[in-house]
Amino acid sequence: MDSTADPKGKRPLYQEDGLAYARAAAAAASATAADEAEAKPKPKPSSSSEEAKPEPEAEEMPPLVLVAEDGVEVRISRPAARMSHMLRLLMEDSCADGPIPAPNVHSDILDLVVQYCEKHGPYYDPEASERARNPFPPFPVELTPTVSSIKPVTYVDPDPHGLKDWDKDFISLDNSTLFEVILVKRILNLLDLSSTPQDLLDLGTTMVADMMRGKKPEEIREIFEIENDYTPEQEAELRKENAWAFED
Amino acid sequence: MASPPVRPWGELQHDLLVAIMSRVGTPDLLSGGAPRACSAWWAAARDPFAWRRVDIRDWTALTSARRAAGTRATSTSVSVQDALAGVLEVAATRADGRMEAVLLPEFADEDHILFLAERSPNLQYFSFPTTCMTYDQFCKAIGKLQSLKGMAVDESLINYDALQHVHQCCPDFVELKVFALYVDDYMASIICDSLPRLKKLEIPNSDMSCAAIIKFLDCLEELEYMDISGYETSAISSTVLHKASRLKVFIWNSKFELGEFKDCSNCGEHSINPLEPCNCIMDHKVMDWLAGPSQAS
Repeated sequence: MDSTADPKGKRPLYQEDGLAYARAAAAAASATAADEAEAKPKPKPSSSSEEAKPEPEAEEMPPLVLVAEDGVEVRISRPAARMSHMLRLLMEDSCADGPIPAPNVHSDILDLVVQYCEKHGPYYDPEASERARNPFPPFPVELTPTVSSIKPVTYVDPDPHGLKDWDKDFISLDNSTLFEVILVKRILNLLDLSSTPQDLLDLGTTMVADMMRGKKPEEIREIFEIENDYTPEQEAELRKENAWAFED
Repeated sequence: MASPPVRPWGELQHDLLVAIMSRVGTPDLLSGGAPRACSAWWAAARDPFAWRRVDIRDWTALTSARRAAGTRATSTSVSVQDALAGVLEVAATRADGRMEAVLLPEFADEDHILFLAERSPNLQYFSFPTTCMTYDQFCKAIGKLQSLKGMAVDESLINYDALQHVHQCCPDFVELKVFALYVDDYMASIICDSLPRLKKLEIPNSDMSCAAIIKFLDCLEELEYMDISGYETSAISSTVLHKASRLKVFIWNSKFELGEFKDCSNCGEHSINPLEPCNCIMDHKVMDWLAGPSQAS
């Protein structure tokens, strides 16, 4: 197990981003929790950790183990874990065999996020999201897979797996859960801050924005249970800027 | 399992709040309830990040948000042009030079575009649907928008002067959308000659001649995305489909439901019954394709 604890002979340095922290934590955890890994009769990565990985197909590898803040373990399969930038990097660096701590995330929420990843994981194409992230302006274009001119293009279904409906059901959570989900996706995507279509962060923030649109301040405060610390000075500032609208 | 701790929305991190605010839409950000809910949200609504993309097309929504805010403003004393100028002033100030795209309503005029060009020189895209009889202010604005990547304009601006000026001033220009009723070979020539490096072309909801489509496909060598959907009369032939096969995205559905064409551009047959299409369409086999998967067998 020592070779896994110290892959490639490097000691992870602490950096500002969470990735190194997660790597270090995962490496340390896998060293102390060697028993966790023994249950799977899988090829031990210790031999492959030295070289650059052509690892076996992700489906054959054991699921990752995420540990929530309340100590509960949540398993996520490797194809699903690929949806998280951070977890993907961990897997590529072979640091993902032991338990991976997910601090500040409750297991219920982690469960939900894992559910989302399991559903979307098989269809996740990181390159497609990359393309979507640098689309032609101004608004993201859903580039369909290469459109053949032989096939009729009168209607191209951008959602062949029915993920949109599933997403809609999934995201109708109560407010506090929605809040947590947004935060967690943020944590899991520590290095991947831009939003892509179908991304959970995008889904969550869009959902919240939809809830906010067209409402009066009182209604919003009621829905989101926000304390009103909005000052008269701020209101004055707002009115001053919008002088075109406010004619007194 | 213990239920997860409840964390108040008021404490959501600033940049997440800003991400939400950038999805709410300009009317609400300006005078809706969201910026007034609490201090943190007030600050998030003013963050430049939330003002990278400004959509003012729905003027009614903008003014109704204003009315709902309980102002005593009477819309009659302020002209819409002045009101729009006021909105753009706020948007430009809040965006702090980071505005990327702006979509203007139909009554916007060249002065608004010039204003934006001066205040947001890093603008990458704008939509300006207004018919322009003169375009010197427009060209002046283009001269200031060196980062421009694309624009959506009315067909009145499709002329050699304007488009060549765009080509000269904007090295990154790759995307054009045109609001037009009818597109002929001549208009296609103007576009192809002036903007040969276009990658994305959108001319939806117009009737386009077959010659025009083929001109685009032949001359725009770097074209990757083409949207000519929403037409009433089909000009899509098998040649078109063959040439368009090199594109990454080609959107060519008509404005009707599958297969419901009214006229055939090939033989001039009018008011075709979709169940009994004219012979030339059958010969070209276009109707098969257009009818969709249910008739594929």
